[in-house]
Amino acid sequence: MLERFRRDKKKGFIFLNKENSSFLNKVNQQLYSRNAELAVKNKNLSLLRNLYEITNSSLDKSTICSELTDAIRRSFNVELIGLFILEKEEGVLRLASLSLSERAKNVVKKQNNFLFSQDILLLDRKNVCYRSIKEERKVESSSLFNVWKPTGFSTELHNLHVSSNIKSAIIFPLINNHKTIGVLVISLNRSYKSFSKYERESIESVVNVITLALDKILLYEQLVTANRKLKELDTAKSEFISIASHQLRTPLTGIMGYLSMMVAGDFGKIEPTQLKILNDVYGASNRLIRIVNIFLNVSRIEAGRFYLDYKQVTFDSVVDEIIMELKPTASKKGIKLVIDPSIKSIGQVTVDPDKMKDVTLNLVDNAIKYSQSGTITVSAKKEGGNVHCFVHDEGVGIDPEEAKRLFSKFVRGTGIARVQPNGSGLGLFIAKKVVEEHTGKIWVESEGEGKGSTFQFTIPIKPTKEQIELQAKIASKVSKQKAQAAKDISPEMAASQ
Amino acid sequence: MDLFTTITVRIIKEQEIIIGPIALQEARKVKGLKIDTGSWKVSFIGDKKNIINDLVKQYSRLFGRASEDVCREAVRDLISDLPNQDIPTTLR
Repeated sequence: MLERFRRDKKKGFIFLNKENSSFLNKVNQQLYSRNAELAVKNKNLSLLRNLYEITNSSLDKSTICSELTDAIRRSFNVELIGLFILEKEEGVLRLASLSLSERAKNVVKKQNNFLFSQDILLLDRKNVCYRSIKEERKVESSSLFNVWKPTGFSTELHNLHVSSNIKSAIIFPLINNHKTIGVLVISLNRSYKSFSKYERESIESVVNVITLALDKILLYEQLVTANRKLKELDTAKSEFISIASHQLRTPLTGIMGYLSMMVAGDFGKIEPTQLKILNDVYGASNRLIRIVNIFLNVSRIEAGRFYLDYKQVTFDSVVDEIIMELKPTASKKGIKLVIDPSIKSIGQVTVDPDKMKDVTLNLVDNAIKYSQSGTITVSAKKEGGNVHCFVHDEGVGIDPEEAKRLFSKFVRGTGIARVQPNGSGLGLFIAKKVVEEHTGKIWVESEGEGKGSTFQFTIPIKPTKEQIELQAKIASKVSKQKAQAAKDISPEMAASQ
Repeated sequence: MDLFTTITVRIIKEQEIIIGPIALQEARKVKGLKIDTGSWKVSFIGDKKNIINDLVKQYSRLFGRASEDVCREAVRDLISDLPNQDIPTTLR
């Protein structure tokens, strides 16, 4: 029997017979099956993408775990998802996050939220989580009692079972790089077997995502803890250096005071032989105080108590004093120390003169230490609004690779260490800090070992108004901190400082 | 929303993902089932269990066994809460 439909141009019906109709039905059904498959895969991919987005949205453990478990529970329409982190040494699975359906949440809420503080003790070998971890595989149970065994909340768990119609619990171990980091507990109102093949595959892939996310979170937590400990150690070290330096400087200042009085004859005439010895002792004490001051400066820099005291001075006044002080030392080694006339041509600059003297002292002192002969020349020129200063020596030179690291703390060039084994490795670090606080730049150029070196720095002739205000602010802050510290310390400690 | 209403809405929405607006068109053809798409308000005139059976068969007529499986899987968690005698035969 033929079924006829006329093609009506207005209504658009088509002419079909029975065979065509059956064929079209088959095509429809095939298309439907393909579509259904795609829909399932699409749903799975959407879930995975959502989970990845959650994982990448934050580094906070609580937020990520909570959002992940909620997303999974909603996607699979389950009653309970629990994410636990394994603390092997304590033998416990620590609850990271718990997501409950509305009805489960209501039951738990009425029972003082008992589940939210329920870690899982891995004491009982019959505990399904224990088995899952031990056997490194998924384990199923018909009851939540086996998940929290042994538990003191039997009644509460029973109530949860009944009201949420819980029929099964599946435990997935979370294993990454052969290491178990936790478990995922899924509790349902049906058996796991009732899940379709696609749903089960989907859950397996979700477990992998959770494992990676949890691993990342735990690693981040370890890094944060390690970083915090390092900062504490660093602060403790800086405090120690500061206290030790203060304690050393006070008696040293006393020693130098008495020495200079003796040299001046305040305690009677000094024999020439005695004078020589006293001068040597005075020089050694001076060097010791300089080292202590270096340590103090480093601790001030690290504690944020380092600031500039701007004054208007002539640039040559910053350099001349240092050269005069170091000329005898240079002469003893047969080294010529020369101030180029360009130094005088710079004129007025606005800098922290004491700190810039320290920089010049450090550079010239280093040049003397690491030269065995030749000439050391200090020169400068104006470049726009800056002063560009040069300290050139004909000494041991520096390997270009080492030159890059020379201004870091406790770093000394290998060639330098051979010539002058004693040295704190801090002078250039402080010099760099001083120059950079002036918004300048410091660096060294050398063609290599044995070819001398030229230390250079540039600083503005005059700082900007903002720069002056910034330094004044730091100075004020340091002053307040000192005043506060003075109120807090004992009179004995105050006297020693 | 009672459980049968939730089951009906879930089935139609799941079918909608696969076959698009036809899902709603076909659902409207089921006798005794009234749907307000704006609010997804569903009302039954008659035995709810039978109406749901008819809904599943409506899709099955067009798209075969696969559509029955889709209906079943879409509401598996909801069906688990129903006593056996209340579960529509097409969803068992």
